[in-house]
Amino acid sequence: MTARHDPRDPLTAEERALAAMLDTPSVGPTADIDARILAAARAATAGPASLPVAPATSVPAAAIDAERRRRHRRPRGVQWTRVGGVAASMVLVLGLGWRLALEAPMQEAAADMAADAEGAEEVVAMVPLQRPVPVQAPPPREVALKPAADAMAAADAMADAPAAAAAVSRKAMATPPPPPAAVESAIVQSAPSPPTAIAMPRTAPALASSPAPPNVSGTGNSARAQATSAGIANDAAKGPRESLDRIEVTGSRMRMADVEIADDARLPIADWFDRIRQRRDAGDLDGARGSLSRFRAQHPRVALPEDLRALDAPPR
Amino acid sequence: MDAAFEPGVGPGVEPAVEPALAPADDALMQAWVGGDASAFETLYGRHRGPLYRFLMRHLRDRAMSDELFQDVWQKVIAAREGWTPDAAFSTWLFRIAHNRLADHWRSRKHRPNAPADADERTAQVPDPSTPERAVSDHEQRVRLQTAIDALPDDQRIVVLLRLEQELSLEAIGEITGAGRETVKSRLRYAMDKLRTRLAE
Repeated sequence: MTARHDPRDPLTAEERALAAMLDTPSVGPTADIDARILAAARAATAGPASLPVAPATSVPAAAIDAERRRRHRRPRGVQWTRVGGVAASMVLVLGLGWRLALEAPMQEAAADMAADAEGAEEVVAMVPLQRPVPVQAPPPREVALKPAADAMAAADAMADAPAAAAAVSRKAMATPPPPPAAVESAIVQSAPSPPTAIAMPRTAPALASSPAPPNVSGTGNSARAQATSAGIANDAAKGPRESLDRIEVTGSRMRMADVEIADDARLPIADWFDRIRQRRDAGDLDGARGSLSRFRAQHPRVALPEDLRALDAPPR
Repeated sequence: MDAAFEPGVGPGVEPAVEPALAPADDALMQAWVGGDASAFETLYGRHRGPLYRFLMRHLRDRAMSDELFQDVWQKVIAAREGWTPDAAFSTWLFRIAHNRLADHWRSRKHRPNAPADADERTAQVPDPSTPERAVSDHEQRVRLQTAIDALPDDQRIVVLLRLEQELSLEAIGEITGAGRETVKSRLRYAMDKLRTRLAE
């Protein structure tokens, strides 16, 4: 508000003439309005009693209300700012706690991996214990129906058998074992899973060429077990070369044999020979040949017993 | 002071009071704030007529003028303790009225047309001298009111505050929120238009 001055200023002659024309002294509020306003003024002077005047709808009153709301809004804004800060802090703390909670199992997993790396053979050696040994009597029907082309493919695969077995052994010895979760998944996948992509090209033609092919595309374990047992039956009927071919074809069996062979390698030479004979006598020709191959690789200057030389006959 | 209002007694005939002996608006306001109810009655009797006519001139509707008139005085009553004699009471009072009018027009979006009896209400003072003179004055009042109605809002309020309340340019500026030169310019334009319209 500016400095105080006299609000009135005398009118000019022209303005006075116009003002005289505008003058309407009889126009004014009614006596009822006068009484109400005076009563309101008296009530306000007497105390904060309720005013008998109609509710305020004037701009200044509205402006006052707006100002009050604006003043009340300020602390509300500050309050929201504080609430937002607290919420952000809680989110940060929860995020850190979550990360720490995630890192703890990861550290445990890393420790387990380190421990597993030290005792990798023990972890791998437990794999075949979770898997039943598919040793069954050979069904003569499949042996009779197996075509000659399958025999040729088996012969080709048998030529690669020693190198593949050696490669698998080196891999098992050199590469560190996967983390526990990976090992478990490998176990779960290796036991009931279908043949791997590497084995598929060799098994698919052989099985497809047979007059009564098993349901290879099916996901059931029974079909897979049937195929495996059929392969073992063929091995027993056809001799060592085709049995070696089966070792390569089924990745899970190669893995089991590799594990068992690694277990055999710990034995003394005489016990190793006995283990090979036990495998052979039990019908596990795959394991016997694999163990013998491992023995020859590990002890190339040791002469084989007579009964085991036939098992180690080179492929034609 | 209006003849129909008697301070201390209520609506009635105002007793004759010498202007020199009459207390100033500021003194009355301070006395009322201090608890003297009769001071407000005097203050109210002094400004009720001009304020009501000011509203009536803008609104041209008695019911609406009554409503806004009460609103303005209620604001005066509610804000009495915050009042300071920095400005004249009349300036403060008409600023409240001006804001209330602005709010009223803002809510209505536009100014309504003049009521049917607007001309009659603006020409209620007959001249008893001669019938010809009365007719002439009546025509002049109608012309003047029509010319005022045709003014822009900012010019109309300036000319009415000047002609009816005899307020200075500074006081009108305080009421309308405009600068002195702006008020002076608006008043000059308004007077030119009124002069031209009445000369037709």
